Amino acid sequence: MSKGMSLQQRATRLTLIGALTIWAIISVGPIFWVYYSSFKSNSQIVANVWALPHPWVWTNWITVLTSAVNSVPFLTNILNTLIIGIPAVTVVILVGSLAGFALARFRFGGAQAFQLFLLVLLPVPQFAVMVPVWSYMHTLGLTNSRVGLFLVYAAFNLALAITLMRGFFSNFPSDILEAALLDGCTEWYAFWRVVVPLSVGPMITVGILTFGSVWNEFLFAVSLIQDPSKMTVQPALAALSAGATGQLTFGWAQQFSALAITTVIPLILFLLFQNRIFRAVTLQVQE
Amino acid sequence: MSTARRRLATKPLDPVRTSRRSPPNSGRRLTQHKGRWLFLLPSFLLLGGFVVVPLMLGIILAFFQWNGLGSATFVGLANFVAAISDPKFWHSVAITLWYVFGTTLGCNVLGLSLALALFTKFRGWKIFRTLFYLSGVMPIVATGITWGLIFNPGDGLLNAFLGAIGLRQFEGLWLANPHLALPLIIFVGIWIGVGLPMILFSAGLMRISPALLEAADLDGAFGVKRVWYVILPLLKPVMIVTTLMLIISSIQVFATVWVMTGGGPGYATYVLGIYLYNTAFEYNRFGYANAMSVIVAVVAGASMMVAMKFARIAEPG
Repeated sequence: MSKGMSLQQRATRLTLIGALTIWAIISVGPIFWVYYSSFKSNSQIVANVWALPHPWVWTNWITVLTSAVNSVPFLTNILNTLIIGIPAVTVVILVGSLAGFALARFRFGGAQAFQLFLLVLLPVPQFAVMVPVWSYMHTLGLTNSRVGLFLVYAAFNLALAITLMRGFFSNFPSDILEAALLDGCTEWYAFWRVVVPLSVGPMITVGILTFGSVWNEFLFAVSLIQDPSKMTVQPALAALSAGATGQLTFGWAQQFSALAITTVIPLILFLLFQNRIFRAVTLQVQE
Repeated sequence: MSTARRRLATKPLDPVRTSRRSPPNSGRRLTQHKGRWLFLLPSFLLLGGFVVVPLMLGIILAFFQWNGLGSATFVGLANFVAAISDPKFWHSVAITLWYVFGTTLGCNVLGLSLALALFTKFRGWKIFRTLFYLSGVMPIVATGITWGLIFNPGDGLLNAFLGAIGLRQFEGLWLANPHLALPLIIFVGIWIGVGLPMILFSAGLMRISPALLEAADLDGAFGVKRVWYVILPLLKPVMIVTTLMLIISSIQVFATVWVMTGGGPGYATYVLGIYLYNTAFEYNRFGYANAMSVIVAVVAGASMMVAMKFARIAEPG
């Protein structure tokens, strides 16, 4: 491979790979550090903050999951996110697919206005809707409520799902749909019986992206829910640490374990569905 | 319309277009179209009920004084006037814009550099691509806490590391230093955001025809010259897209600041999100917070719409 290379080319290549390795270390190093530190005891961490565990301590994760940290175990916070997130993802996939299909396939009055509305929503920062949403949910008595947070997540993740599904459905093979309609199905029936089974792939993509955003969501979660027993993962994680002063409200080891646990689900999803996510991201841009 | 013609259609067929051209007495078609409103109803309910109505309520509340508990008092434009003459508001606007500028520039430059490096397709480049994207996969709150621990002035990783390799004189206060806090938070923003532009630039590079690059090589344009005169102009449309996306995503900054500095030291990292949160939930000035939210939403939304419009004009095709 390197036969035809001049010395200079080889030097350039070495510099290049050196630079890439440095950024790779900056990029992955902190994550790696969090993971191996989560297997150290508190005294090991205090003695040397960057050394590898010696001996390895396997119980930190279980401690942080099961013992009360902010008056409830971290596991409760994880379950809260799942209780809110799984229904939200399901709703977003189904509702987003329906609307995406309608926008791609039907012509109706106001379709353009609807698409413009979805486009306008995109650049509005979420913190600028935080206070209005809180005021509204407060009026409805839906603050400090998992149902309330579920509704907010379903609504605010819908625009992306509709956009992605519309992109997919506008390339959906027409003859399959036509055949179903010619057989006398209604569009509604054809959608559920013919279109949905052939659209599982993109629906999974939308589901992964939505779940990722729900799992990571902090702003709405921290403003809408104060009750620790209803708190989701990210605000609970933030409450574990008191920020820059480094005044940890909990032990170092448990802190690292909570970080590792919170990161493990998106990490697994990403490594499993990497290509799918890259493709969705690239597609989304073309919109 | 005949079945044969329908089969011949190369473009995805719009059933509505079909029905429009079909004779008005085709009853079967009509029954097929029944229930079309069902497709959009759930979206309208969710978006209307939990996006549109809250925003309208926010606009209304912007004209009231409200502590979040009792009844609200109408104050007219007082909240808006207060916002415009509020130095803290303008300070947080400035901090946010600095963050947006730094992060967008940094992500673009670093993302493009990484994509160009990966484009040489050395052995194992796909592994590097995955590694570079991983930093964006970590939840943002976790990212903020982790870098908070690294930049911890007491016994953080960075100071411990500097001490261990004999560079004790470079140990610093990091996030506790008012001059370094914002640059460090921008650095973390770049660390989080660089994956996306890298992927988009990579995809853009793949679309450049190899023949064109070879021709450039023959013309003596290689290395830095080739990047500057041949590749960059071709990547301009991608760069417009990444810049818009980075502005939209970086203006959201909230969680990293929340967990790393809480807006401090002093007000050095007091971004808009933190100010809005504090105004509402710490000082219980919900009317005022709503007014500032309306200003931010309208200005951010409108300027980005204008930017997108220009971007579309600038983009060839």
